[in-house]
Amino acid sequence: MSATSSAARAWAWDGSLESLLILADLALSAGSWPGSLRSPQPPEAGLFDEAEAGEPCGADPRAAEGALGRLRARGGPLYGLCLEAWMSEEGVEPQLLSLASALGRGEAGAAEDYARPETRILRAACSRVEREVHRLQGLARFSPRSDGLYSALLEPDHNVLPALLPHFARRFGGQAFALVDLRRRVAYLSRGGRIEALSGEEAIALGPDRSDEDAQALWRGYFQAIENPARRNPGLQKRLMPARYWKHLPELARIGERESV
Amino acid sequence: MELADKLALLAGAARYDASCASSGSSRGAGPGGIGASSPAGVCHSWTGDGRCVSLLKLLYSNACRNDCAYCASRSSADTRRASFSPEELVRITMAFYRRNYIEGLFLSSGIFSDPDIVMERLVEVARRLREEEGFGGYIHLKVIPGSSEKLLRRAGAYADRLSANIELPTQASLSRLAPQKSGTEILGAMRLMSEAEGESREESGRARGWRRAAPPPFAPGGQSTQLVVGASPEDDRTIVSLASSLYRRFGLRRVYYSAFLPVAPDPRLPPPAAPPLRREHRLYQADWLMRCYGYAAEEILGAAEPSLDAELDPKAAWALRNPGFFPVEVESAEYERLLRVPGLGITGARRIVAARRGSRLEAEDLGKMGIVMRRARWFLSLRGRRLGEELGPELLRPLLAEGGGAARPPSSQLELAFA
Ligand code: SF4
Repeated sequence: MSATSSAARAWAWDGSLESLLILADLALSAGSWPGSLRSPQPPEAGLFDEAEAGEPCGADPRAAEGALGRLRARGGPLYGLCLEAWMSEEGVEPQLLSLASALGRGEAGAAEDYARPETRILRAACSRVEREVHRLQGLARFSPRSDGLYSALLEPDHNVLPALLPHFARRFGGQAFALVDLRRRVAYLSRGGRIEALSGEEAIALGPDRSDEDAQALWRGYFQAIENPARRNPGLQKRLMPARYWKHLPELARIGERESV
Repeated sequence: MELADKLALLAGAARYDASCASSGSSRGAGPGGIGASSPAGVCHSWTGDGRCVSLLKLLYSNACRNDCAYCASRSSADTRRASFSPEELVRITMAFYRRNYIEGLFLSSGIFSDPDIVMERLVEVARRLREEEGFGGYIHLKVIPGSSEKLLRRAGAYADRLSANIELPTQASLSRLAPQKSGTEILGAMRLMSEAEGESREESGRARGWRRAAPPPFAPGGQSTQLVVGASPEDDRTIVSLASSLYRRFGLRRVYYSAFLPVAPDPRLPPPAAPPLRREHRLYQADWLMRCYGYAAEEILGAAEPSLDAELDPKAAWALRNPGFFPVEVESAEYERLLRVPGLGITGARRIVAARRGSRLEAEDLGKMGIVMRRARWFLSLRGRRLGEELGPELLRPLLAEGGGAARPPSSQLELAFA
């Protein structure tokens, strides 16, 4: 997968997007990478200073910004693939770094070449992310809170909130809104043109704080009225909109769950 | 009538209109406004029969003075009648839009009065949404044939898309089943729209040249139309060539086909039967081949073939009729030739073109690239060697029958960036 010698020491990666961008930038400029990743040593664990000169560990925001600029300038689709690989949480970072190395060696077109296993595996993960982003652009359901904020609860398979933000910021115009990921306990609040990231209890507290039954009942009525009994095809409906998303859809959530809100 | 009852009644009456797409337009919210529509279109839910729910699709009113045989709102039907007010429609649209239930509004109406009066009501709803609510979401307005050019132009200034339904494939069928409708009037509305669209394009070009602000574009999402399949005796060839000429003459974005669903017995209609869903599906495939794969109407159905093959998708059918075109060489064939291979779609053809630049392709790679080899192998060669035996059309036919695989719309590619 990689043209480098196996003797090279594995790169440390702390799981953050920032350090992934730095690593991808390194692989791109070197045209190679060691072939494996390891988690960084906690500082107190080693007797010796483990960090080698130039090895990225931890996420230095300034370094990440420089890497981002270079990736966008000369990495072609690489920057977008970094974001999606990271959001996928599928562990495809090695494939990403192999591809970055290949591009660094001047193998133009490698990112589109599905005959390469790393491209195929990486692209498959990225397209699952894209599909979920696209789906949730439609399936996120907002309701107004008592403070006027429109808030949506989500439980996405992948860590896609960052990719949903620009879409909803554009859609909501000046209206303040929040996206809450119940599974990862993170949230983003967009208000007055600024975006704030929250986690833990603070994130969960941004969820809806009152019932929105009037609007939801009207919407359910609409949804029932457009059903076409002559053409029912529940298998197709589930394929287009997997049942795991239904919980947060007022038109499809089961009665019991709905009433407990 | 309660608002909820009205909503159910007027949504139920509008549901058979197939044109639900909210794509093909891009606009943002006005200052202090809300909403944006994106060219890719977004589904907000899927109904029990797998239709994408994107727009709030409603009739302004189901009162109608016409008596079209295939329509649940026709004047002779024994059904409750109701109408919205513009306030009600604006309120529901905004409430649903803010909650991300919908991409926008699709508004049509029965002909409850003079065409101009009906059209003026639809335009008024769109005007309020845009001007009073700063709504930047999607608006599709149905054009009422016979309404004035002036109203049509106002409609185009507020709406993303306009559509005049052609309803039936020939004037003879219109006269029989929709006696108050005139094909000339419908085509006239289409011509007006395509002219206004052209003028608006020119004007915005001129404005760019002079560095002036362009006037609002005329229906930037273009126009579409719909026709009912199976209520009248026309064959598929008539329908396919009608669609092809609508695309050419009026620059339509989409033609929608709707399998006829009997709503009430009527001596003018064929005896009740299951809706011709298979036929509708084949027509969509043929349409897709014309719009995205570069097939001409005459290639899809020649003079000797009145109808699309029920067992074969139209692309496979063409391949079997044209054995001399194959095999197509994986290493060197142009993109357009690759597209004609059954089992190989737009994505597959693009991937082959990209991959063969970098690596030497092997037969096993093709399957991994998303190409349906079970169908494609019979039509491909790799460095001069056929990937499947050379079989005659009679042997290939059962191997390609049904299963689809051919004309499926691509999923839209997304651009990602952090805010
Ligand atoms: S004009 Fe014809 S199709 Fe339209 S609502 Fe009236 S009866 Fe129905």
